[in-house]
This record gives sequence, C-alpha cells and structure tokens, in this order.
Amino acid sequence: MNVRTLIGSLCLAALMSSGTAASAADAPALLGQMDESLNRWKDQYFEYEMRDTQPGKGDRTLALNVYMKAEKRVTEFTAPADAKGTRVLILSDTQMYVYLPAYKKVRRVASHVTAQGFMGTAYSQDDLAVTTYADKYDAKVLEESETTAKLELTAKPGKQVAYPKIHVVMEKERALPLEFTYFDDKGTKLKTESRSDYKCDGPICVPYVMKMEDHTTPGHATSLTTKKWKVDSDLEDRIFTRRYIQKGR
Amino acid sequence: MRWLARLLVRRPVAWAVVVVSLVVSAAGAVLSTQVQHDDDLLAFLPEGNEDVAAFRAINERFGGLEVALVGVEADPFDREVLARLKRVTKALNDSAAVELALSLANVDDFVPAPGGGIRTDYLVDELPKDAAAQAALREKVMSRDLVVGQLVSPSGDGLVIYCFSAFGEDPKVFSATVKGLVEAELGAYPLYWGGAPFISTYIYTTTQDDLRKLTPWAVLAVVLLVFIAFRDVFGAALALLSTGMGIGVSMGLMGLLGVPYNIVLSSMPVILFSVGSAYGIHVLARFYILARDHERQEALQLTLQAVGPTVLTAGLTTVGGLLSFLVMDIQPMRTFGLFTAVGIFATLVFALTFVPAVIVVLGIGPRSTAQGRISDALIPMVELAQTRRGLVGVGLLLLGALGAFYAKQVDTRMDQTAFFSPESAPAQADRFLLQHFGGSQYIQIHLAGDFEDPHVLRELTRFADELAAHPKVAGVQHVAQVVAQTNEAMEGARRVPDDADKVRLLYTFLAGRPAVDQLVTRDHTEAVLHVKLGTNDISDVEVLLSDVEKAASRDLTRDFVVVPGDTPAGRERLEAYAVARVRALLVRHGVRLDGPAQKRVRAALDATRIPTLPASPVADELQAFLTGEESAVDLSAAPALARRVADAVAGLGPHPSEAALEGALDATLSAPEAVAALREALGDEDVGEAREDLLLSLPTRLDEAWRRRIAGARAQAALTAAGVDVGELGPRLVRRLTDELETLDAPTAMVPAAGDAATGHLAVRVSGLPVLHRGMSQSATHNQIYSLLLALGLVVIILSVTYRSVRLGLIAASPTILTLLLIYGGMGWLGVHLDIGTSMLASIIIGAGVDYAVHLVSAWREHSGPDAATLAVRETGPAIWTNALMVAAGFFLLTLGEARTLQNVGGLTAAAMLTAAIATFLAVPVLMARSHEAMEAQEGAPISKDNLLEG
Repeated sequence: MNVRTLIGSLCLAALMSSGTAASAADAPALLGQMDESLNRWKDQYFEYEMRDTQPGKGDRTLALNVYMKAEKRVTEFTAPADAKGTRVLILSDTQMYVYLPAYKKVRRVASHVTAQGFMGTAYSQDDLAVTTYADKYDAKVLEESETTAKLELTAKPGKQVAYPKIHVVMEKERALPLEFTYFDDKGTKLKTESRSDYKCDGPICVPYVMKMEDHTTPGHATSLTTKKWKVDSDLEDRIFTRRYIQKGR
Repeated sequence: MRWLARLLVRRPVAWAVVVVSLVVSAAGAVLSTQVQHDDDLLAFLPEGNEDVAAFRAINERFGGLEVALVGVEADPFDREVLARLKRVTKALNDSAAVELALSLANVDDFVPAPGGGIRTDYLVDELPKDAAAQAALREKVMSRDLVVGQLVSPSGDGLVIYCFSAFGEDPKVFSATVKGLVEAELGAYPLYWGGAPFISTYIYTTTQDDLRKLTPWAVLAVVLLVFIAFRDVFGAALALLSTGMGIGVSMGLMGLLGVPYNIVLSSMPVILFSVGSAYGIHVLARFYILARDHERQEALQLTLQAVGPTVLTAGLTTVGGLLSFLVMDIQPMRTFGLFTAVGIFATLVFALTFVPAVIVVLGIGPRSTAQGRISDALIPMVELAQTRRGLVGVGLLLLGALGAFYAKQVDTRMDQTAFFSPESAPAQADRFLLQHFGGSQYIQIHLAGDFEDPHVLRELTRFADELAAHPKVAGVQHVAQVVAQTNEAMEGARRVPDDADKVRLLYTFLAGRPAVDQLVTRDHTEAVLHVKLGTNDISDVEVLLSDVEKAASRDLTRDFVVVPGDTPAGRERLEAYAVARVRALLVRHGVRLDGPAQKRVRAALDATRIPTLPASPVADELQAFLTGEESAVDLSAAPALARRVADAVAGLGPHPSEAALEGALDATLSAPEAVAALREALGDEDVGEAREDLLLSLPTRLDEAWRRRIAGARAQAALTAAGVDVGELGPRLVRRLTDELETLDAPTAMVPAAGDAATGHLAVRVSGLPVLHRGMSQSATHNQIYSLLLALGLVVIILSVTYRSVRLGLIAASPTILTLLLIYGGMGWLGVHLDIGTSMLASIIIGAGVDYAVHLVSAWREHSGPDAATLAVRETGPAIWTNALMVAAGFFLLTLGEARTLQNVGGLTAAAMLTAAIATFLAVPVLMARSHEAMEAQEGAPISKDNLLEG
C-alpha cells in the first residue's frame, strides 16, 4: 500500500542532522560518527518540495511538511491539490495512521510492503527508513582524500536490510554523507542518492537538496528540496495524535 | 545503343568504364557502411488508415506495446516455484530494461487488521512450509478476483509474469533480458513468451535470421544454375560481380541520403542476384554465340544492338514493377521498392556498360555453352502453341478464367497467422494464455472523458459489465476496478466512491504505477477498457468485434447530466447499474441471469431500497470503532460508555440530521457517569474536546455502517430473487454484492441528455489488435490494387514504347497477366490470405515475370518466316529458363526458414516465375504468330541480325 510508504518521508529528515569531524581512516569509527551526526536532534520540522522525473511520463511535484519528535512523525501534504490535507501519523514501526480528507476519516495501516516507490517516486520506504548504519553494516574504507572518505558498507550477517551493499561518500570534517550508492546482492548498482547544500544550526546540519536516481529505471530521478527547516523548537506532543491529523490543529 | 556499342569497343573507353564503375561501386560500398538499421516493426503499420492510426496512438499513449507476458506452466502454490518466482520477479525489477515486473510474488494485498484499520502486505507474504500452508495460500489467492485469471490461472495450474518495458528500451534487448532472467530461474518449467515485445522480436529475428542463413544459399543456387546452364565460370562471376556492384550503388545511395535499412530490404540481395544477374548473362550469352562468327569488337557491337534494347526493356519493366511500391501506404515498403529499383537499374547499367567493357579490356573470346538441350525441349511446346493456336489459346483462357474464379476467393485477412506458424513461440504462448487464462487477444476501447468523475467511472463499469456478459468475452479490465479496489482499503467497500474528491485522492496513491498507466492517462481524461477475448478463432473474433462496436455505439451513455439519486430518473439509473453489477458478479461465479431473472432482481432491489433493519448491528460496528484505533476519541478504556454512545447514535437510523446527532450525543455524554467515564478514559485535558471530536468522526462511520447493513439486506434479497443458492457460492459473493449495492444510495446519478443540456461527455473508439488487423487488411487490399494497376500500367507503357506498338506491348504483358491470375487463383484455392507480405507479390511478378516475354517477343521480331519462332526460342529459351529457375530457386530457398511472411512470398514468387516462363512459351506464340504477320506486312521488312548492323 502506497500510504504506508509515507513513513519514509518522515524518516528521511532523521538522516540529515550532522556532527563533528572524523580524523582517521578507521571505517567503523567513521560510520559511527556519521550515525551520531545524523541523530543529534530532539525535534525537527521540515517543509519539502519533492519533484519526480520519469522519461515519457513527465514531472510531478509534491509538497509536504514533516514534524518529527523522537520516533514519532507526522507528514502533511500541501500539494498537489488532490492530496492536500492528507496527513500521516507514525507512532512506531507498527503503528501508522493516515487521515484522508475526502473520506473524513482516519485509517490505521499496517504494512510490510517496503520496496515500492513512494507515490511513484524513486525513493522507497526502505531508502528512507534507515537512520543508522553502524548497527547493520560492516564498513571498510575504499578511498580517502583529505576531506572525504568513501566507505563500503556490507550487511552484517543475519541483518535484514534492503541493500546488501552500499557505498557512502562522506565528508570527514563534519561526518556528513554526500552520496549513497546502493547495490543488490550481485553487485548491480540499483540507485544513487546525493545529498548537498548542507545548512547547519549549531552542530546539527541538514542537506537542503537531495536527489535519488533509480538505475533500474533509466532516467527516473526524484529530487527533494528543503524549503524550510526548524530544529529543536519544542514541538508539542499533541501534534503526534490521531486527533491532530484529523483536525489539523 | 549502336552509339554506345561503338563507344564501348574502344579500349580506352572500356578501361574508363571499368575504372569508373569499380570506383562508383566501391564508393557505394563505403557509403553503405553508414546506413543505419531501422528495427522498428511499428514502421510497417500503414499510414493514413484511421483504425491503424488510432491503434498506434492508443498503444503509444497507454504503453500497450511495451508489456511482455511470460506464461509459466507450474503449480503456483508450490514452495519451490514460488521461491523461484520471487527471485526472478526481483531480478526483473532490478533490471534497467524492465520498468516493472508484476507477478504473484509481488502483488499487494490488504485485509482488515485485527486491531482495526487495514493491513497491507504482499499477497504471498511467506513461502508455504507444509501442505496445510499451501492449501491456505491457495484458498487466499483464489479468493482474489483481480488476481485470478490475470496472474494465476483459474484452474490453479499456471502463472503469468507481466513485464513492463523501460521507456525507450529496444524491444529486442528488453525481450532478451526478460527471457534470460526468467529462463535462469524457471527454465525447468514450460515457459511461454507472449505480448508485443516478444512477438515483434520473434518476427524481426526469425525474418532476419532466415535471410542471414538463407541468402548465401539462395545466391549459391543462382551461381550454380548460371554455371550449369552456361558452363562459364567467368561469365557467372562477371554477372554476379555486376549485380553485387548494383547492390553497392543502391546501398551507398541509402547511406548518402540517410535512409535507414529495414527488414524488407534484407531480401534485396536475393531479388537482385536472381533477377538482376540475368541482364549480364543475356549480354554474355549472346556475345559468346556471335563471337564464334564475328571478330570480338564486331560481335560485341552486334550483341549490344541485338540484346541491349531487350535487356534495357526487361530491366525497366522490373524497375517499373518495383517502383509501383511507391503507392503503398507503408514507408518501409516504399523504401524497399525505391532502392531495390535503384539496385536493379544500376545492375542494368553495369550489364550494358561494365560487362562489355570488361570483355574488351580482358579480351574475352567465344565460349561454348550448354543451352541446346533446353531449346530442344522448348521448341515442341512453342510449335504446339503455334500449330494448335485455337486449342492452346482456349486452354489458356480457361486456365485464366479458372484462376480468376479462385482469385476472387482470396481473402484479405490479417491476423497472427500472417506472421507466425502454429508451432512458433508466439502461437504457443497464445494457446497457453487461451487455455489457462481464458484468452490472449484484446479489444481495446478508448474513451475520452473525465475519469475523476465517479459517474463516468460507474458508467465505465456498467458498460464493461455489458461486455463481460458476452459469451465470447473472457474478461474486461478498466480503471474503475482499480479505483474500486483502492477505495476498499479506505472505505471498506470495493466500489467506485460517490465523491470526485475521493477518486482524485485515490489516483494520487496510484500515481506512477505502470499497470495503472495502461488503463488511464495521468491527467485522467482518457482511459482504455481492455476486453479479453475468449477465442483466437478469426471468425469468432470478427463477430465479437462487430458486437463490441455495436455495444459501444448503443450501450454507452455519451452525453449526460447529473441528477440527484432520489429522483425517478436518478433512481432508475442507479438500479440499472446495480442490476448490471449483480449480473456481472454472478457471471463471474458461473451463474448467468436471464431477462426475467434480471427483472426480478430489479424489483427486489426496488422493494429493499430502504429496508427496515435493527440498529443493534450498526451499534456493534460503532462500538468497535470507538474502542478501536481509528477513532479520534479513544474509548477503549470506557467500553460501556462506547456502547451507550453507539446505541444512541445507531438508533437515529441512517442519515440523521446534525441536530439529531448532537442531541443524541449530548444526552449520552451529559450523564454524570458518562462524564466520569470520559474523564477516566481521556484525562481531564481531552474531555472538553471529546464531543467535538465525536461529532467530527462519528457521522462518516455511522453512514458507512448503515449503508453496509442496508446493502447487505439488498444483496440477500437480490440473490433470493435471482434464485441463486447463496450457500454454494459462499460469503465472498455476498460481500462483493454488498459492496456494489451500496451504490444504490449514491447521492447523484448520471442520466442521458441530448445536445446543449448535457454537462458531461464521453467519446468512445474501439481499437485493439483485431481492429489493427482490419486496418492492415484494408491497407493490403489498397496496396495490392494500386500497386498492381501501376505496375501493369508502367510495364505496358514501357513495352508499347519499346515496340512502338500497344498490341505488342499487350502481347508481351499477357503471360504475366495469366501468371497473376493463376498465382492468385492458387492462393484462393489453397486458402492463402492476402496480407502485408503477399501484397508485394503482384509488383514483383509483374516486374520480373514480364522479362521472359520481353526477350521472346524481341527475339521473335528479329526473324521472319516460319522459323521465326524456332529461332527466337533457340536464342532466348535457355536464358529465360535459366533465369526463371534462378529466381525460383532463390525465392524457394526462402521458404525453408521459419518466418511465415518469407515462406509465403518466397514460395509464391518461385511458383510465379516458373509459371511466367511456361506461360511465355505458350501465350506469346499463340498471340504472336498473327501479330508478327501483321507487323511484317506493315513494316515491309523483317528484323534480322543482318540488318541490325546496318541499323
């Protein structure tokens, strides 16, 4: 069910916080620092524009606001008009609710379908759900320069992950990911995600431009642009309730 | 010609001609390497035909030509099969050539979740571990009517994987990728390859492979025949060289002009080698004879003056025949006609310049050939035609009449059999899909309108139901089904929602899915309804197509207005819709409702429009909602209060007023025990908002609960009225009927309206492969008639100008006309259809077959007296027969391949060339004797070898 994949848009923001420098080519340490830099916030609010491009099918643009606090997330669609007012509340991996304005009701949705594109975009829930890597992947350094390091992440034995292998290019100074390349178990390149235009509020940084290129569908790419970002602004708990997503206040 | 002959015998000129010819040919060969290949089989669709244009436009817009179907003959519920299916589906989806692969392994499913709401997962979430799990999975899968008949065969013994090609991917690459990946995992099971990418790839590769394999053999056969006939390696080599140079010039010109090479042009070498090499052979053969009695230069002059005009005429008639392709409405055929004509013309020029020049340069002398025995065999035939002119003439006329009789029975019919044989992979896939999935061919109905409008979606459903009731229709797919299924996840009922906002919201969740893109455009203004045909029999398909076209013009509401559902017109419309749905759902369960039964169902629906039902089941549902996880007010900690609220609200009946609802809630919530319970369940902070929140969320649930109860009562009543034993069909049918019969309470309905009164419109056009085949049949007929007339006209004009006599022109054309009648008569007799391939025949037969008569008539004109025929036969007979055998052998070899089109064209052309040769030696003597006498009397002196030198 596609609505389930809305969860991914929320988790995406969790990947965008940043931290301090890494100084050595110790792959596990670098990966740990990246995880730490991505999960440093208490709450966040984003306004995104999502643009999907697919050859022969034209462009589509979605606009969404995302509220995050600990595990809880609310995503609110503001465009296109057909989806405007749709809100999704995620309380945990197994508790998700969607409010559909045309139906004037909240539905609880449980799903295990995680590999499909989020509303036809190049991002899947799997792409967006991961917020930490060191607990799931072993790392080794492939390349290193003065400012960046390229790590190869290989799934730890027994860990259920969407991609058995990932290449990450990260900025060493702030331990921020710049590019992820996802591979299947045969080593075929499936997707490439870039993150750029980082902006920081104290030690927390987020990319203002992200782009996912789907190599399994040549020419298919989705960009996600941050229009507004607030961090640690003491979001109220009432936002993360079924009542809020139904009433919008 | 005399001037040319005198020029060519000069050694420096001959050298210059040889050098220039070789340079031009070499340049052509170099340029030919720049020729691009155009593999697009869609280019063969005729231009200007409305049916064909519509088919192409619809399939390009909806991607219908980009879907490959892989049939797997295996138990879909077997653990090993499912494991392999999961792996191959993932591998296909990970491939850049495949945009989406859809199979039982990755199709979504949703069911009510235990804690309320819905649970979505893959239909096959885990592999069955034992027999019990396998049986449970089978039961679950076979209960999903959108999966059965699409992804799993109704008999549970076959699977289909749908593969959607990546945008712009080469069908051959796509097909090879799919085939490779599927065979790697499922190669142990019988596999079937269907759908447009596999079919087009099959046609292209078999034709290309056949031509690649058979062309060298065809050329070898031509070379051998030339050698056997003339026993002259040099002559054979020279004739073939000049033909090869002609091909080089033609291909070089294509490279120069940027014209792409297409699959029909692949047959150009066979045509040029078998037809074009005759020109050089005629020149050489005559030279060898004359060189015995004359000095080389004189013999060469005599040769060119004697056979030059004849060879030129024969070549030009062939060029004329090929140029008649230019009136065809298929671009690659026009390209083929034009550049094969260029090749023939270049070969002709080389035969009349390069070949004589080589003779001069190399100092070739007389050689003996083995042509006597052929002449000896032909002379009695010609003498018989002359001496028994009346008898032979009548015989030929009767033969022609018989041919004409059967030719009238030639059926212009384009279907799959025109392109592949019954044992070919696409034909096997067709049979598999027909046997296991009810059908393999589709009629597509293109509709234009507002497909966000629920009234339009309901009309689409109603129309589809009408079509589904046809006994030869195996199923109908349309976007309203997908909308209804998605609505089930949101609203709990699999039906088209009543509200356009809901439809639009559902579309946003469906965006980007290739399977949905096949049903509706992204702006939702065009849709395609796919009607699966339960037959592959061409006659049944034609009848069904006609029925569907009638239904499209008769049953679909094109102009409409929307009226309230409780008006008489609206009510009638909603009831008609409901009856159509009941009928369609029962058909799916093997029950066909006759007219009286439908009337009974309608009466039952009318009687149960607002049934009197107890409120307690509704209250149960509301209580479950209030204590579940979807209510804005969580009363799970106060079940007694939840029951009181549910009872109070359910007791209001369906569609209570806002005031009544507020009153019932206030009365319930203001009670002290209710306040206390609320406070305990929600906490002090949220109690204040509880009333407002309940007023916000309860009406929708109340409405849904009542509608469901009422619709359930209607479903039972409809089944009773229909006389259907519900027990046998199970609760699944009742549930589906309940879903659909909720629509009887829709607030609005569409009714037909005329002219300016209409506020909504639907445009419809029937398309699909059967319609495409009809358009291609029309094109084949058109191409056949126009190209035949043009070819015949050009040939008669060329001959009449050459002989300066229309009568002689007609005489020379007569064997070809007889040949056409016999070949087309043979086609009618044998049941060979006129199609895109066989429509090429007439032009080729006219262009190449008339050459024989040209040579015989020209030779005949050179002589006088009673021996004129014998002399003419001795001079031309061997060359004519050799050429006829060469062409026949070349084309016959094409029948040994797999490509059905090449088999038909090759076999019939081979037969036509032999027939044309025989007809020449019978028809020309019958007609020529009288004409020749008249001509001699008119011109005073016969044409002879002696006066040729003087002329």
